[in-house]
Amino acid sequence: MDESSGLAFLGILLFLSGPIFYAIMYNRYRNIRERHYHESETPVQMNNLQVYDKLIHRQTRQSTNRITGANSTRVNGTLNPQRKFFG
Amino acid sequence: MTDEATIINTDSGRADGLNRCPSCGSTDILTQAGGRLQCQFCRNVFDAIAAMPPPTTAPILQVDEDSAAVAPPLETHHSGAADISTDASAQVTIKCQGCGAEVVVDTNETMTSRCHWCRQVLSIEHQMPNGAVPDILLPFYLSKEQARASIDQFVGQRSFFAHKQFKAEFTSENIVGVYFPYFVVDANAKSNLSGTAGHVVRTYTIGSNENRRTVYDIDIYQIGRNFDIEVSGLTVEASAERRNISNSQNTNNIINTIMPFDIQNAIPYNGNYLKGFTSERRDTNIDEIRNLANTQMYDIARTQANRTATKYDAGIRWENENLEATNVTWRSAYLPVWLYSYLEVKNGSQLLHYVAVNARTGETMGSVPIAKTRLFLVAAIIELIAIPLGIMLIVFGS
Ligand SMILES: [Zn+2]
Ligand SMILES: [Zn+2]
Repeated sequence: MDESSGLAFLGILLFLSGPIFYAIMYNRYRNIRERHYHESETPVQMNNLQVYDKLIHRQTRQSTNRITGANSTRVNGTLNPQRKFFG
Repeated sequence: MTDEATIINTDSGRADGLNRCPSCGSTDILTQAGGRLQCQFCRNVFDAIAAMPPPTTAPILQVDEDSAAVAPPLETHHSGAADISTDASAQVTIKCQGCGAEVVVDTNETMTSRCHWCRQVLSIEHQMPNGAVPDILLPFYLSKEQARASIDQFVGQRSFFAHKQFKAEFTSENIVGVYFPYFVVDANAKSNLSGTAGHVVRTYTIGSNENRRTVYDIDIYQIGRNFDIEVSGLTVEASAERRNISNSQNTNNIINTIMPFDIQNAIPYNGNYLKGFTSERRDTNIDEIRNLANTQMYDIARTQANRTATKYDAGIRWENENLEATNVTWRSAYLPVWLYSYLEVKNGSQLLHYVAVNARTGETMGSVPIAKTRLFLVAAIIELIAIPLGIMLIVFGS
């Protein structure tokens, strides 16, 4: 990102600063998105690890630094997660 | 998953009624800060484990005769996690061993009651078919004063945008100590994940002038992870109401958030630890939450696998995930929470706010009603100041 587009990005961020402030404060008071992080907070021990990593090919000149369909951070076992913000 | 389970009997063998101080015989016993019991009569401090009589029956392993020839059951259920009998009454009549009077205890409300006649404290000690007595519990470690300080601090830090009426009415004086019901799952499993992962090897700019852009070279890998996991103390709410997280009617996610508890320190159920606290009865059977627990096990296994593949900064796409449990143990538990509640009523709708303190770890979380008009106005003022600045930056930037 060069300097001028960086400034424009900051400008757009400033346009959103009212809603962003509202959302941050709303979350700080109501904490509706908070939950127990069972996937990382449950005591667990890993044993007998076997790993397999094989280079397949190199993709050059990709416009994004993420592979398609990356899903490793997905969590399925939450209790009816609610994403509502401005309720 | 399985029809047969090995059952381990964890009933205390004690009769309901008087659970006495081992020193003087009084039944006026309360939990003191630090989680030990104290007799309110002779001030003797003790633990129920030491005071517990030896079990009248050794743990019984009930193996179904027909299935004895086939592989042993995958699951072990401690008897306090047994299915709730649908016709089981929540009312228990205890015959006071002190004076012979009969006292009715509603286990939906409380697990202890004072005898109307001799004033001694009666408690439910034996496991019953309505799910009111769990296998294990964690005593309240934090005192009410410690919990109040946490709650006061949490709310105090959220004062500026707090609803006016809430601010006027808030006091942590009336917080209650509640034992909430949970299932505790221990499991061993074989886990196997495979997929595609990417590692960024080069970031650079191509094109010139108008067409200049940033691009990435990414090495694509095929990856696999094979391992065993030993999960100890996965906890899931054993109350349907508490599993219901609806942000428009309740804030049960607050109570969910203050997990985990130090399950490894749990002790066998003993009614003395419930004196002075309220409790919520379990209303859920293992079958109703086995899928949820299983899904959470997958989440845990995936998180473990991710930790062995941190070099893939372009992300991982898991394509196959297998988890095969080799044994699973289910226990029921009462876990201690200090709870502040506030009912917000606004044009006909109601929202129950909680501030909760994990009475073991001190983890505190809460929901504070918001003065929305005030928050909106402040956000609008910020917006009004920010827009001219934003326009200036965009004009400069182009
Ligand atoms: Zn005593
Ligand atoms: Zn009596």
